[in-house]
Amino acid sequence: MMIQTPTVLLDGTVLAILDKQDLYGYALTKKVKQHVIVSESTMYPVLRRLEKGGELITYSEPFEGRTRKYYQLTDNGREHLREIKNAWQDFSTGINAILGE
Amino acid sequence: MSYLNELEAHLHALPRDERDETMAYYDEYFTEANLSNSAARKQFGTPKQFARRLIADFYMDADDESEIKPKQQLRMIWVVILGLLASPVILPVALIMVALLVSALATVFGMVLTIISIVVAILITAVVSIITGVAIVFNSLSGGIFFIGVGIAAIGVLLLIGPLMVSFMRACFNGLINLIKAIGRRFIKKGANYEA
Repeated sequence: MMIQTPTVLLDGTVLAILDKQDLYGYALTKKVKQHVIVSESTMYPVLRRLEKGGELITYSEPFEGRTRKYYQLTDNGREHLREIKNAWQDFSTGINAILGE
Repeated sequence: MSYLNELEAHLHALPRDERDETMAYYDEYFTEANLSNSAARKQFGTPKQFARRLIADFYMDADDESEIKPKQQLRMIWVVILGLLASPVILPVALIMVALLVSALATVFGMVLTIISIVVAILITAVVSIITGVAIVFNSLSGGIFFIGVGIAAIGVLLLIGPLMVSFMRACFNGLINLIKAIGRRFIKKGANYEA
């Protein structure tokens, strides 16, 4: 059995990774996959939504004759990340107390 | 034809700028991942399946009314029906949802038709009454004034209920759209997380 990752935690994972460094789509997907089980096609809608919501901005950087589109956290995104972290603390403490044995 | 070319050909249900952005993202992704056409097929399914999922994702995420034009909203109904039929939900449930959608659609369509007929009927009554009134006013003053009065009253009624009916229709339509989105989110999102 597998617990599906809720949207808010997926958002949190993406924001937390981008808080450490700017990444392009493929590298970001690989990093996310180290933590949660997502299919390759899950990331684009998440990034699109976060960018539309002003939590991410993008910039292009040349690499070996092509460009990579990097995603960067904005202050809004950092604020949202903090909220998710707090909410997760409360949630996981409660669940851990009963299930985490 | 390459996987990405085929994918783009199936994405015409997306608004143009959205399609361009999606393609740019996956173009880069495929290059970085060094994906061959057959590897892409394994990871994302056929270009057609993948396109359907991308389209469903777009319409389910687009909360903003302004982001979706009415013509695209109609398209969304179709997208959701296709998505439901292609989703891993057990078939009876999917069929019930499709039936629900079709009946909701039929209900709203019926109501819109009813409202339009009522408005047209009142309008015809008004015009005929006024013409009749004017025609007979020289023979019978009271009869003529009566018919003209009825006509003007009908126009008054129309002016009163017209805006009401328009907002009622809009409310019905928005309700329908939200129902579709809710069904789509509930069932198609599951498909999105499904590891292909």
